[in-house]
Amino acid sequence: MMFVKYKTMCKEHLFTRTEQDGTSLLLIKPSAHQVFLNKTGVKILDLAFNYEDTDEVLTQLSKDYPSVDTRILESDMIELFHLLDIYEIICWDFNATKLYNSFYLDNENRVLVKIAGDKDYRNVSNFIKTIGLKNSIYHCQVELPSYYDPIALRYHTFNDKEYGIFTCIDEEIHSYMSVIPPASEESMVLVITSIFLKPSLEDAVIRDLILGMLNRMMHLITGRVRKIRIGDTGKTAPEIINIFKSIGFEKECELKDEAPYGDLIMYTKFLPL
Amino acid sequence: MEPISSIDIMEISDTASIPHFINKNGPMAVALDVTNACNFHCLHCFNNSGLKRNNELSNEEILDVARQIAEFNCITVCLCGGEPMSRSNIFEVIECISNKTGYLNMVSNGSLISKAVASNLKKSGLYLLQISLDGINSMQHDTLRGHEGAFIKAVSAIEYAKEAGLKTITSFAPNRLNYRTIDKYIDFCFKLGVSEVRAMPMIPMGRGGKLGPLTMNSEEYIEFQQVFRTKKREYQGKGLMLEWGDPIDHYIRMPNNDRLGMKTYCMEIKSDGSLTVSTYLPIIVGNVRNHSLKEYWDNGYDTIWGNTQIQGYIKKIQNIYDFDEFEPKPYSDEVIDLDLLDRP
Repeated sequence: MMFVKYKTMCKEHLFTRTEQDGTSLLLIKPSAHQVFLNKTGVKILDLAFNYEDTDEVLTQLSKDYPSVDTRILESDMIELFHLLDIYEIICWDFNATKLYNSFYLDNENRVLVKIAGDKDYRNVSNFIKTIGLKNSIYHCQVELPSYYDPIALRYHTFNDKEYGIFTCIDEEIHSYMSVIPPASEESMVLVITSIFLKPSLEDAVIRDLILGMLNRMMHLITGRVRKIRIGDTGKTAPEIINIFKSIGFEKECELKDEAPYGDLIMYTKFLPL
Repeated sequence: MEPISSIDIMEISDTASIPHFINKNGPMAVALDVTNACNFHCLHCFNNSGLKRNNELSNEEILDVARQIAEFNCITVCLCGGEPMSRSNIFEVIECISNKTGYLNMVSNGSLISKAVASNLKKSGLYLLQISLDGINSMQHDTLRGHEGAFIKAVSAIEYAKEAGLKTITSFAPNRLNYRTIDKYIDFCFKLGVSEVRAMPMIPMGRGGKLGPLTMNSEEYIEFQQVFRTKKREYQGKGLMLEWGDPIDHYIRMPNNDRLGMKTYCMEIKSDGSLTVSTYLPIIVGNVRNHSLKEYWDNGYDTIWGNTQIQGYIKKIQNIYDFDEFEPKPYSDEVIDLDLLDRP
């Protein structure tokens, strides 16, 4: 784990009952949840409140438990800090550690990039149907409106067939992108299958939205993606292809008479190994 | 087998001419809540298990229901709850059903399963024991279960069940405390000799609707799914199955099955004897205190997913948050009464 600074937040939300055997019961007051900690957990909790970065906590833990593998201690520490984070007992000091903490595209924290989930499918479906399949700026997916019904969107995500990402400002959706994750452990290709945008956006804005949504997805699908791909059968406007080129996509191959519309040109963005 | 694509399962049109040809005489599966009583008070329990209901079936009544279930010759019967081991005559119920059923399964938190109990469950005819295990340590499991020592008891129960010769599987409720260690959890289950890990999204209804900070967001679910999928491949052919179940799926699949001519697959019976269509919705279509299971089967339960009133209700469920929006609230005292034999 990298060195991470944190701040203790609402310590008063925590009530600790320590048992004679050294274990503790934590009562998280706002949710009334009870967490049972063993002796190591109690020790890490104690250290968490006495230091301000995880590196210091781990160093001290290693001194206290010299015979225990550091990786095990680190794993225990991460788990407890995760718990404290969930219940907002601590918060990560992102400025101090320069972590990627924000999923907003702008400095004012207005344009939010989100992964579509159960709470979003109805809104996303409405957005896509309002824009209309024919008005997507890029589309290589099934051309049926029902493909974008809320329950179909959910089915695709739940079964890892296709994920959706969207941007919104004050709950209003401005853009949506669907991607197919790598199909197997052997595959390293992420395929973009559709992009829908609010009408009349400038190219620079479109570029930022696409890039923002891609970054968000790459943040989630860790490790094994080496290529991001789009496929065009002549339906995508040249200016949109140019936008893709401006963010690093290049023509990788051309397959003759691959589709009813004609040739298929694949554009790929190669990611560093 | 590859799952049917979304288009296939949603675009089936008029297939009413196909005759009903499967399970004419009764359901293939039955889920029976033997009690609502539970010695735990889990944070995520969608059916608010805890106290025994005032109007629960008596030991004699539940045995009578068990006899009726046995007559169906089901492929599979699942004993659920509450905690099924809280039902004082659970062994009699198991004995009654097991001889005439393909697989008799039971879902348990494991806390009341000692070595001797596991052995008796096996002797009574239980085939499969599903133990709820929600993490790799006490902090993850006990916190969710609201009971100190629950983790150790669940792991012991798995070991006892394996030793007794029961097929043993676990269920896993992903939440923000445990989802990041799902890879370690699966390795742990493999070492325990578990045959299958079943996971499904936390259903935000009942106490599960108040999980607050432990509820995962969409990104966390995808992160979880990615690891789960990778581990599924890793353990393929090694004796550990991994199942990521969808609680919404049957609302799509079952009405389509009905259109294809298939009769109702599963019958669900609650601890007060009421018959439901889906465990997640407060729709009651009868009660075993009034008529036999077979009477209900022959008078509409066999085609219950084709019932237009039922279809009207289930169309409202399009994601897991819709359960808690349903009116009346599931597992409140109110129900929608669509009794098949005694119309209100």
